[in-house]
Amino acid sequence: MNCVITFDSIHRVMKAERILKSEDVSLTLVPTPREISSECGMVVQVGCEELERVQEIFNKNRLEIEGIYQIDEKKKTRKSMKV
Amino acid sequence: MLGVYFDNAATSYPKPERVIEAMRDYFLNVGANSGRSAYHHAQEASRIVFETRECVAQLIGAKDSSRVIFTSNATEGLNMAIMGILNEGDEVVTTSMEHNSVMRPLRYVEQTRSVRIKTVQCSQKGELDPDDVKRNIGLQTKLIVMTSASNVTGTLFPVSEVSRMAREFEIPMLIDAAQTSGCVPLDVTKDVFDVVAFSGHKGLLGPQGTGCLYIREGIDLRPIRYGGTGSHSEFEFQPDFLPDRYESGTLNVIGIAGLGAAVNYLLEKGVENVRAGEEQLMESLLDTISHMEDVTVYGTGDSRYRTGVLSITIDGMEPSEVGYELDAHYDIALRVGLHCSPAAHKTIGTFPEGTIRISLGPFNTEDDINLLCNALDEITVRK
Repeated sequence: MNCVITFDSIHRVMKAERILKSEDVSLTLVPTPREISSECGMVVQVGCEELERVQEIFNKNRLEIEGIYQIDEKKKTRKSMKV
Repeated sequence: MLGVYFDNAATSYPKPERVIEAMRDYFLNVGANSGRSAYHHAQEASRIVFETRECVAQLIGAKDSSRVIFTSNATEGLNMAIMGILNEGDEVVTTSMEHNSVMRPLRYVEQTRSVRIKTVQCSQKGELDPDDVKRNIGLQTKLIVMTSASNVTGTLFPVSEVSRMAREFEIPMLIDAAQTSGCVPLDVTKDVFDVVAFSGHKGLLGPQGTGCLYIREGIDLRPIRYGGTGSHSEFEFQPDFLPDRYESGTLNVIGIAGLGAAVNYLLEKGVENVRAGEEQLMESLLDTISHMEDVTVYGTGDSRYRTGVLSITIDGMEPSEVGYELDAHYDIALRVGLHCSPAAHKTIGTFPEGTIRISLGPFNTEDDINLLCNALDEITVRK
């Protein structure tokens, strides 16, 4: 299952991408799903199993996140819930 | 290809090859807008903007790159800070060596917001005594604005010292670093600088149409431009987070791509090495030129206290005449006249005729200096 992490600005999304790449975390940048309210149009998508590690990395780098959501792929509605 | 280029204080030339490559690559392979969309070309554009911001932050010692705002030039940054800080009835302290990029926005707020301008008189060599700044600070002083080096005499200004003083008085300080960024090492964190404006196309070696404004955390400017940022789009109010708060409208992404490559070049080369090279060239230049008959040299004669900018006049010749001769007969490019700094020329006694300004860059050589000195020799003999 995938999780998405939202940030308040593209600047922080870009920073997140750079930090995760340097830590060899696999990620995709995707448009913000419609169900999610976010300040910015792009979000960071990672496997949910990576979430704990990802949060640790962001904490260590003092990168402030806005929210974390789980994407329910089975029901095609892509229902998101805040973790 | 230009012949011998000595107008780096206006805009630097040539640029590192990689600047041109980065801009070409952007137009050929990216093309999209930054900060707005998630398709992969747009992501790449956002990445370019982000990476350039990180590079600039690293170059100036800023811990948080979101405090580096992209502008179109140093002038825009200076306008943003002056208009964004000063209110009706405030007082501002500045110096008698400022460029019109500082003086004109100050005159504007003087006329429209009754801002009182207190100008600290500098010496005829263009040097500032920091105690004179202190003496001009009053209860209503809400901003100190100062150049880091004169664009006319090249004199370095004691910005670190004045900044410490400003902090004691809890007055924000705005530094016009157009003449030192990329040429003189800068560390905004170590010096706790508040607001620093600089261009991307001079010492930073990037393309024209680029500039930056660094704003320390804790300092808020009222934006002078409002509009779309790609963030917070459901709201009609300007976002309060950086860099978006100050970057409404489409950015100059191709310029920023070039700027990123230029700053990378500088990070590899080291600003301290650029500085050492220019100091050495300036020493050679001063050595020869100050012994030339009929030539008057302005500013300090000590290359440690000046940038790669030197102003001279030749007795019995108009600066414009000398500029024309150098261009027409020797293919040497430099700027003569007032250099947009009437206040500075009044201070050093060269108003309204102005001076002949020689401004060095990292690609100038001893050969260039010799060509110039020989040309000046011939011109003064012929006059």
